[in-house]
Amino acid sequence: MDSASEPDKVSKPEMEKEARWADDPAPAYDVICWDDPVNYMEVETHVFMKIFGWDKPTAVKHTIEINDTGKSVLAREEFEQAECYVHQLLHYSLHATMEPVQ
Amino acid sequence: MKLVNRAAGNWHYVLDQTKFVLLKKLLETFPLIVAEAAPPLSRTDNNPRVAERNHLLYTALADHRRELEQQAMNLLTAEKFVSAGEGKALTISAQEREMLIQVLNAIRMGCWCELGRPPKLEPQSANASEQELNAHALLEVAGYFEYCLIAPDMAE
Repeated sequence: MDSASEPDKVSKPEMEKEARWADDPAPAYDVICWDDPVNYMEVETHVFMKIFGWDKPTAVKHTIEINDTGKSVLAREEFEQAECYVHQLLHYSLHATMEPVQ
Repeated sequence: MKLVNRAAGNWHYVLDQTKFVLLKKLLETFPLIVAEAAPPLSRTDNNPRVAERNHLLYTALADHRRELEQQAMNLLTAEKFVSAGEGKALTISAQEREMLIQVLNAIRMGCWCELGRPPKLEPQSANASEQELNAHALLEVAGYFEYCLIAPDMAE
């Protein structure tokens, strides 16, 4: 096999993928948790570990980011999964929304 | 309220009589807020699909709140609290613990809404109304129990 044939083999699936996305775009959404004066940092950490299955350092990192910057992007998902996460976060009364990725 | 031990998927707490009465009264205040008090699904997405899904979100949250209310009442009526010395012992499953955390946090959120959603939870002023004082008190008491439930996790 000569090296010139390699790019074709690699690029074809990519082209198919691009074509599929052009016809049926599945926009990505950021799942964001916003700061509020009500929720304790410990509660946010607990909820993130519970919902996303994160270890404590990862959950704490996002909690601190919320406290320092006012928000943290917790996940980037397609519509349905992002919506599911927002519902779960709202069950705990955290201030969560899903925003389209620009 | 204090965690005594955690075994076989259950959490065992003890609390004195005063804390038991406080927790009972607190749970009886739930739900304080309606589902529409939650934020909309998205702040920036103008897609009509999102507007439609907002309606579903609020319906789902209202359903969830009704389930929580029922579970909270079960916790109070199912002889979960047994006498232990001068206080009570409470044994709850991991699922019941999560339910309790959700209920307590919803009560805190409800109190905040009742206070007009202030950007900061400042100490109440001297001329605060009785309703405001009550909301502040409930918010703090719910926070105390919530912290008792979660603190052992944070210490690990």
